[in-house]
Amino acid sequence: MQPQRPVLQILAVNLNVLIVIGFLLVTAGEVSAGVSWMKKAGLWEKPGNVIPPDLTFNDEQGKVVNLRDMIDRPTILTVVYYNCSRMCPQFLAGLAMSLGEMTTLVPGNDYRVLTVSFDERDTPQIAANVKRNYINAINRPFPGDAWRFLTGTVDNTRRLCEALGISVMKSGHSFVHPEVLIFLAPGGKITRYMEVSKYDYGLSYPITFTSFELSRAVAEARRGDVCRVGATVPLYCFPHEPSQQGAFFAILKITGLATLLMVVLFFFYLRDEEKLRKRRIELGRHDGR
Amino acid sequence: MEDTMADESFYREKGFRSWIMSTDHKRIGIQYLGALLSFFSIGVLLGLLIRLNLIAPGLIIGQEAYNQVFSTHGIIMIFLFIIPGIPVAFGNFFLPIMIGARDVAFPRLNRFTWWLYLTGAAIVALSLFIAGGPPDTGWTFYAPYSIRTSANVGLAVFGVFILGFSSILTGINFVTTIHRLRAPGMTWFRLPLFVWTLYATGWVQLLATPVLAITLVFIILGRVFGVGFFDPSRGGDPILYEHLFWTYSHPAVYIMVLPAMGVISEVVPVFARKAIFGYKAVAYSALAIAGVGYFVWGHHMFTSGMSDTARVIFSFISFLVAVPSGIKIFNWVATLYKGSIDMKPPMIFALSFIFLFSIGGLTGLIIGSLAPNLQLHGTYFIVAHFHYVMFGGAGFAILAGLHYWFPKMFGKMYKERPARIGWLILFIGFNLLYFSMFILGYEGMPRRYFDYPPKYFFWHLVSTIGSWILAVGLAIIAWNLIRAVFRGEKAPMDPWGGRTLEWQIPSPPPSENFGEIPVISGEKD
Repeated sequence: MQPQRPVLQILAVNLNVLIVIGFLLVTAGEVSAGVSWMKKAGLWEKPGNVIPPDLTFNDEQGKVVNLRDMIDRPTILTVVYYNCSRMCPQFLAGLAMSLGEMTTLVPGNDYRVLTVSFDERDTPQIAANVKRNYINAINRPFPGDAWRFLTGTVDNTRRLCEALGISVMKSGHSFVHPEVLIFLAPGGKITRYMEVSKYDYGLSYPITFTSFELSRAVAEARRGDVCRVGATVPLYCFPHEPSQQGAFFAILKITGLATLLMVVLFFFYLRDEEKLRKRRIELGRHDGR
Repeated sequence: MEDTMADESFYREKGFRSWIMSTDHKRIGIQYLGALLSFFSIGVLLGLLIRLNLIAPGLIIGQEAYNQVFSTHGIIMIFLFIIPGIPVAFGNFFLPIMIGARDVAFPRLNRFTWWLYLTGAAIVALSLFIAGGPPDTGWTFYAPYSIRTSANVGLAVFGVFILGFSSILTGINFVTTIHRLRAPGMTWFRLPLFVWTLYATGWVQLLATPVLAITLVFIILGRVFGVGFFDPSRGGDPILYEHLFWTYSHPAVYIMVLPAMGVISEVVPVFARKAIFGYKAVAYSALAIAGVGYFVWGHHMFTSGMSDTARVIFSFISFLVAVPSGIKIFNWVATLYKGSIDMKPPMIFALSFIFLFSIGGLTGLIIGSLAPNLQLHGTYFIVAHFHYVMFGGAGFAILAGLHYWFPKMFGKMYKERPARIGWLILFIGFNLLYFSMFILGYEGMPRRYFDYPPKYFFWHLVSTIGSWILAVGLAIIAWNLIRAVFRGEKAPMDPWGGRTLEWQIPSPPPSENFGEIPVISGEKD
C-alpha cells in the first residue's frame, strides 16, 4: 500500500478506520497466536541456530515445498513482504544487482537464494510476479531455480522468523522489520547475518553488497563455519505516516470547502444582480450609466 | 506626454502623484506594463547569465551563485512578469473599453492591487540584496530545503504571498466588471474573446491563488516558528508541499496562457479580415481549460511517489486538457482559411505563437504520459517544454498584444520594418536556444545542474549562441517600441481595421473612454 497521499486521502481515511476496526477484531480474537509476534520489530541474531525441519511454504507455482529440503546447498535467505513500497524493493534490487556482478560462483549450483514473505496476504501469484522482476534485474542469465520466492501461512512464517531471530511489527497497513541477508549452511544452520552497512542516497541502487563479501559468506556457509559479528543496529524498513497529517487535512478541507463555497456564492450573487439589472433596464429605469 | 495630444487624452495629467494615485484603469495598466517589462528585462539578463555559465561552468559564477541566479530568474519571470502579465497590463487597459465601460468595477481596489504588486516586488527585490543572499531553491520553493536553507527564502516567499493577494483582487475585480459593467446590448456571446479568457482567468486566480498563499504561509511558519508541516523530521510531509504547490501552480499555467490565447483570438481575425471561426467553441474552451486545469497538478509529481491509480488518472486528465487547447488552435487556423491575411507585425507574432505554442503543447503530451515522464522528468526536456509554453506562448502573445495595441495605448505608430527584423532574429534565436534543450533533455542532461559531462557541450553551446541571438532580437523590438513612444507618428483611431470597441475611440483613449456609453446591437460581426 502506498503512503497516504493527499489525493487518496479520503480513501485512506476510510481504510484507516477499517484497519483499526479490523485490528481490534483480530487482536480480540487471537491474542496468543499469529499476531503476537507482530508487536515489536527487531533482530536478535542467532548464529549457529538451525531452522525447524518441518516448515512448509508455497513456491511461485503454489506447490507446497519443505524449506529444509530446499536448503541443500549454501543459501542466502531474505525475509520481506512483496507489497512493500519502501525498503524491500531497494534491498532486493540491490541484491539482484550484486548477484549479477558475482561471476565467480555458479548460481543454483554453488548457492541458492530464497526470499520468504511474512505477509499472509502475499500469494504465489504475487511471488511469481516479483520473481520475474528481480530475475530480470540481475542483468545476466540466471536460472529461475536459483532464486525462489516463497509464501506461507502465518504460523509457519512466525516459526521461521523466531528461528531466525527476526521480529516484525504491523504498522498501519504495512510492516516494520529489519532488512538482512541470512546465510545458511546445507541442512539449515545459520552461519552469518549480513546487515546493510551503508545506504547511498540518490543512487539508483542505494543498497549493494560486494561480490567479495557475498562469495566469502557463501564459502563459509558451504563449510558450515558460523561467523559471529557483533550485533549492530540493522536497517529497518518502515512506513512513514506523519502524525499530524490528519489535523492538517482537517484544516485544509475546511478552508478549501469554505473558499469554494464563497466563490460559488459570489458567482450566483453576480448572476442575480445581473438579472435584476436586466429587469430594471427592461422596465426603463436604467440611469444611463 | 506631448502637446500634440488632444486635451482629453488620459495622459493629460502629469506628475508622479497623478500616476501612482490614479484610479484610471488605463493609467494603472500602463504602469503595470512598465513594471512588467522592466522585470522581464532583468529576467532576460539573468537568463543570459545562466546560459553564459553553461558554456564555461565556473568561469563567471560559482555553484552557489548559479543556484541563486536560476532561482531569481525563475521567481522574477514567473511571479513578477508572466503570472500577472497579460491581465494586469492589457486586461486593465482594454477590458473596460472592450465591454463599453468607463472603468473597472472597483477602481480603487484596482489601484490597491497595483500597490500590492509594487510592495510584493519590492520585498522580492529586497530578498536579493540583504544578508543571507537570494533564494537558491528554484522558483518552486520545494520543502524541506526551503525551510532549512540560510538564503532569504522567507522574505521572497512573503513577497510572492503579497503578489498572490494582488492577483486574487485583480481576479475579483475583473469577474465583477464583466458581470456588472457590460454596456447595454453587450451580451455574453457578443463579448470579445479576450474578455472571455480574462473572465476564465479571473475565476482561476480567485480559486487557485489562496492555495498558494496558505502553502507559502506554512513555509514561513516553518522557517520562523519551526512548524513542521512539510518537514519529515518534525512529523511533516514534503510531498504534501509538492501537492499544495502544484495545486496552485498548475492552474497558474492557465493564468498565464489563457489571456495569451485571448490576445491571439483578437489578433488573428483582425489580420485575416474574417470573423473568428467557431466563436462559441473558443469561448467555451477557455472555460473548459480553466475548469479541467484544476485536476492535472499531479503530472508534475509522477516521480515523487504516488499510487499508480492516481498517476494514471492524472495522466489521463492531462491529456484531456489538450482537447480544448487543440480546439483553439484548430479554430485560429480555420479562421486563416480563405482569409485575406495581412502580415503586419502583430500577426507575425500571433502566427509564431501558434507554431511555438503547438510545439510546447505537444511536447507537454509526451511528458504527460507516464513512461516518457519517468525518463524525462527533471531534465532539460522539461525546461525546453515550459519555455516553449511560457515564452513561445505567453511571451510571444504579449509581444503580439504589444504590437497590436501599442497605437491605442500610446497614440503612436511604431516602424514596421524594425519590428519584422526584430521578430525574425528573436524567432531564430528562440528556437536555437530552446530546441537544443529538447535534445539535451532527451540525452539525459538534468535541469538545474551547474556542470555536465563533455558530451553535452555541443548543444549547450548552440543554446547559448541562441540566447545571444534572442537577446539581439528583443533589443531591436524594445528599441523600436521605445523610439515610437517618443518619436512615432501619431496613430489613427483604428490603424488595423479592428472591430472591437477599443478601435471606435481615439488613440490614446480619453479619460473615461466613452463620451456616452455605447449601445451594442445586431450580430457580433
